[in-house]
Amino acid sequence: MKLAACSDRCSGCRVCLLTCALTNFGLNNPRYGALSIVPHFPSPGTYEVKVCIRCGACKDACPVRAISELPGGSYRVDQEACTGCGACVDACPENVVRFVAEKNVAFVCTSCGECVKYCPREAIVDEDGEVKRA
Amino acid sequence: MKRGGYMGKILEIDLSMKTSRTTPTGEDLMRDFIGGRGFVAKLLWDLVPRGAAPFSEENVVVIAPGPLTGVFLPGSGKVHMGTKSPASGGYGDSNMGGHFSPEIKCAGYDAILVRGKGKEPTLVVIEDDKVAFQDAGDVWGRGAITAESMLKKRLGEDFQIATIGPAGENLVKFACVSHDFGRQAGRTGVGAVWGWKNLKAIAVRGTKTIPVAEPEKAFQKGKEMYAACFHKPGFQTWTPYGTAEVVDWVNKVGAFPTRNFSETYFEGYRGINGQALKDRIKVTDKGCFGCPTPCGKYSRARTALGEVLVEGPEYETIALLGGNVGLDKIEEVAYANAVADELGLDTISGGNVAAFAIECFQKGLLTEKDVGRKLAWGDLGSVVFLLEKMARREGIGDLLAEGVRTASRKIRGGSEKFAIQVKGVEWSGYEARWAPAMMISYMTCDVGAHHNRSWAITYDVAKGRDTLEGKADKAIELQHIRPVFDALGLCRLQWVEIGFELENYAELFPMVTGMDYRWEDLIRASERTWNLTRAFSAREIAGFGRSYDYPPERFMEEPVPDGPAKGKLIRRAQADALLDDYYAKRGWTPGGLPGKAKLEELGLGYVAGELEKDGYSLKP
Repeated sequence: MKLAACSDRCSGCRVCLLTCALTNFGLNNPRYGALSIVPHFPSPGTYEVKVCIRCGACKDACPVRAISELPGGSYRVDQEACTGCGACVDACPENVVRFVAEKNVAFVCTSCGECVKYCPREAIVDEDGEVKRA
Repeated sequence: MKRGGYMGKILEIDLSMKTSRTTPTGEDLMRDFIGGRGFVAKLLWDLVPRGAAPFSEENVVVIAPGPLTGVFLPGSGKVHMGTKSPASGGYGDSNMGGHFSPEIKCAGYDAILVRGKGKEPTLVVIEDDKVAFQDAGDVWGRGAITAESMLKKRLGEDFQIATIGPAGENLVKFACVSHDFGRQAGRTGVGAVWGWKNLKAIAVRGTKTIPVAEPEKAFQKGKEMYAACFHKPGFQTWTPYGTAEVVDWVNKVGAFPTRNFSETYFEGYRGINGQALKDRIKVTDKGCFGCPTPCGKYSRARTALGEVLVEGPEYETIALLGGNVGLDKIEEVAYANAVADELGLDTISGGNVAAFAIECFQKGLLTEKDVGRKLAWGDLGSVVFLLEKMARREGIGDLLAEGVRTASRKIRGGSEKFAIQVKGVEWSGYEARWAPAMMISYMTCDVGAHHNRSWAITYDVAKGRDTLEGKADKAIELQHIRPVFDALGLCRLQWVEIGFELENYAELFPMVTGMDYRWEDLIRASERTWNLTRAFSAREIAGFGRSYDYPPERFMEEPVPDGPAKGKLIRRAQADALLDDYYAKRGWTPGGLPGKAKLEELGLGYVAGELEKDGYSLKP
């Protein structure tokens, strides 16, 4: 399972962000979704979808080594070890690492694929073709 | 059970004093009025002093999301805005999508109240608990789209921003509030009240989590709701065109506003329909928060007057700034749409007013000297000229900015007959001479001639278009169902357009709010709200009632000249029969006022007392 963004299909609804936050934290807060929708309006009038590109910048930035690479290539924050310092949030070049205030932890996309299931426009897809829209 | 859906606070802003405070969201308010439109209605009733002028420090603007706004379910991005309307003098509200509403919730509020008047142009910046009053001098005078762009640059993309354009600043009675580069709370002149208050924009950034009573159950239900929407046949067929899809159908049934509603079938409709939009100008789908079926189409259009980027045109704009002014090219409708959006004009009223002026010119009631140029049907130059004049109140625009009711009373010469409005608010996109359920819906809509409370024309087509039987009942039924969405803070289009079942919302409501409500309870709150908004208009407009519920004389006197509805009209006696039936079924008086027994049954006894003070008789 590897996320890929098809920005030209995005309509900016942010369902992906809520799906992500609810799946991973049970919190109804779009700001906790580990993706990013960047609107470019009024010109040229397009949306840009950003997903984790698995660059590892978050892991490198973490001062307490709370972020590790998973076998599939994505990353995971050890919520016990995370101190909530926010270094990984600042380090992410795609602006898709989140700080979840209620838990005082950072959150990086784990490629759970739930956003793929609920993106109405199929603007986020699984490159491996394993996960599809619900 | 734990409470959810509500943030628990109402933010009160006083522009005169540059102060703000919060009050707890009242238990009674939640219980009886749910949220959104219900909050607007109740707070206006309570807080606008009797007889306050629409343009006064006392008038209040209420901006209210609903308990389901921002929650994980289809179409959860709507906000309701209301005020004492400068267009009607009575209850006014308008609804807007985009992302403003969930942002208000995440900032921690169930409603925002705005009172007073800024000493200078003001930008209100709300960041969670912080409220700041900033000088809006640099964006004052700018178009709504331009101002939003400038403010996004200044504050950051993170902020959701609502602005007015020059039309609001110049107190045009149908000025809108604009957001997200093309979403508007368009109707009833809410934008003009912002303008009078020197309120150029509100910017909101909210970082809070919306509480949910039963988070796991609600999330599961939300997922089922999205998945169900994805598998409706309409999911694939409706979205590519959005609301523009209905252009063909409305013409086929002879209900398309054409040249100031003098006709109801537009020969050039294929040039401005959903197909034309999709094939010729669409750039991207543009959805509101949480929407699986985005009706917003962002477009790029070239015309002889220049190129524009614009969200739309939506159906209503195509009807009123297309067929109703005789424009038959989607590019030209898009251009007029962009001009209206930047000026901050409601395209529905703006299209009506432009059409009214063109017809006056054609009939010699307005001359080239009065106007400053010739006006013609199907001429983009005429339309753009009129929109700019009215937004800036220049020349003839000063009179047109008052709307067609007032303008026709000044111009006279029979123009009152083709001033297409009810209660001072211009008619939206469905001509109804041959659609009695739609007609009574327009006649009795609480904010004036608007379709959103009851879109009953499909019922007319299905059940027989000549009969009056059952039509008032249908209008009442829809006037209760549709505003439930406005109270919940949701979009109704998944229900209307792709047939997503109402039971879903009823099932989800208690999971989110923790309130043990069934669908009937929501409908009850909706009926309560309907009676309250009617009472508000009666309290604020002396002699309000039946005489405010008639359609324009054109619809009662001029048979449709051609097309599928040829020869049809609604006679005054038929309009009266519809009203008699409607009032009786509502438990209202023959004069069109909520009956005392009905008010008491709805827990609105205090309202009856207020109206009786005015000398109204409330005996059915």
